[in-house]
Amino acid sequence: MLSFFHTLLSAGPTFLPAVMALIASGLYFRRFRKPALLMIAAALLLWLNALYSLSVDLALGAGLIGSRDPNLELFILIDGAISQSLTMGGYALLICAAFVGRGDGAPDVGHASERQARELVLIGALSLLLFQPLGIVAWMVGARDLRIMRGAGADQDNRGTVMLGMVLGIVSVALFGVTLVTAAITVNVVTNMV
Amino acid sequence: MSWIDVLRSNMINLIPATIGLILAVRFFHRSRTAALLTTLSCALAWTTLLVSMILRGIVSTTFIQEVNHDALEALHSISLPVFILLEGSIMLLLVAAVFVDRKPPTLLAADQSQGANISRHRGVTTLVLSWVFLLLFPSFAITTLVMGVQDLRAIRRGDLDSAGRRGMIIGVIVSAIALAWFLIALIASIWIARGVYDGSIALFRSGIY
Repeated sequence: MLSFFHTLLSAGPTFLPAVMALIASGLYFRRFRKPALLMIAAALLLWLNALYSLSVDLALGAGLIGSRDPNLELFILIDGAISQSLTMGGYALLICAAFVGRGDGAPDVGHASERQARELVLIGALSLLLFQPLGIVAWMVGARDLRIMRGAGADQDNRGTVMLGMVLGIVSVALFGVTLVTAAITVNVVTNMV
Repeated sequence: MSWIDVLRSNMINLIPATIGLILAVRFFHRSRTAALLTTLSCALAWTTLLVSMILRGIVSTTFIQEVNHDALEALHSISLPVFILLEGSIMLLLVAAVFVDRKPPTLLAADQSQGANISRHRGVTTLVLSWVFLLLFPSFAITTLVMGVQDLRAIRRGDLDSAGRRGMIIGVIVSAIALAWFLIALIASIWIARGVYDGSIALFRSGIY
């Protein structure tokens, strides 16, 4: 009984956001049709994945697919491919929906204003202190702004601030990379020692 | 499970996360909130990889496997909510990023020709979609239900052309039927699945399987 509810619970991360995506699509369908349609498509994929995972988990739990099955490896391969394709498709559609139609408004000024440059430093500092993977945005946006500033006639006022944000981003990403490598090495060493 | 397997099983997060980061950087100045939400979800995807790797390392430690079975079980029961939380947060952040900070489009030329700020109705869209969802994906009728209710409110306020009112009402009713049908089917499926699950376990334990 506990395993059954475990199985239901594990479908939650895709099931609930899919419901929210459908409600949001209904709310905004009239004003933003393209993102709403993409979101419905993403919800469909996530929903299918949740149903598929639930069915497979139930079949495995009920012993319909056993560890002595001769085709078990083939099943695992196909199961992984189906599940990964559905989830990846759902993610990709949601990411596309987040940015589709964003370019229709005011033209992109290209480089950062003073306020945006200060925000870049804030993101860099926050990523360094709290959540290092966020630093990649400070790094990439800073690099893009500096490249635009190098162009002839571009405003050079915030160059130092943008540079500072970018450096903080680079340091954060470097620290995150070092953490990943250290974790991998530590786990390997501990495993070999024991 | 080797490191390569861990990486491969996390590809579902890593490839879209990389695409998301590229888009977030590209749109950072134009729609900052959406870019930040997307970045946060991408960062969580990377964190999921980190957590998977750490767990993989701990589980592969023979000390835990051979000596402390309770610790292994405790680890499994802790890791499930962690992954559910991470995956759910990634999805919810992306869903939030889709409509945040969007500027409403200007009135269409066809709408402007009607003179006032009254938009054209979407009764036909609501009706057709609700029937499609009833026949194919009843759970998706929640979208047409929300759409229909919102449009009916807009008609009452006078913001929307009232010509499609009848179609919208039928669409809302069809959507409600589809949702009720889905809920009944869901409860029945869970009930049957639980019965099959428990029955199979009982048969398995009694040695028939």
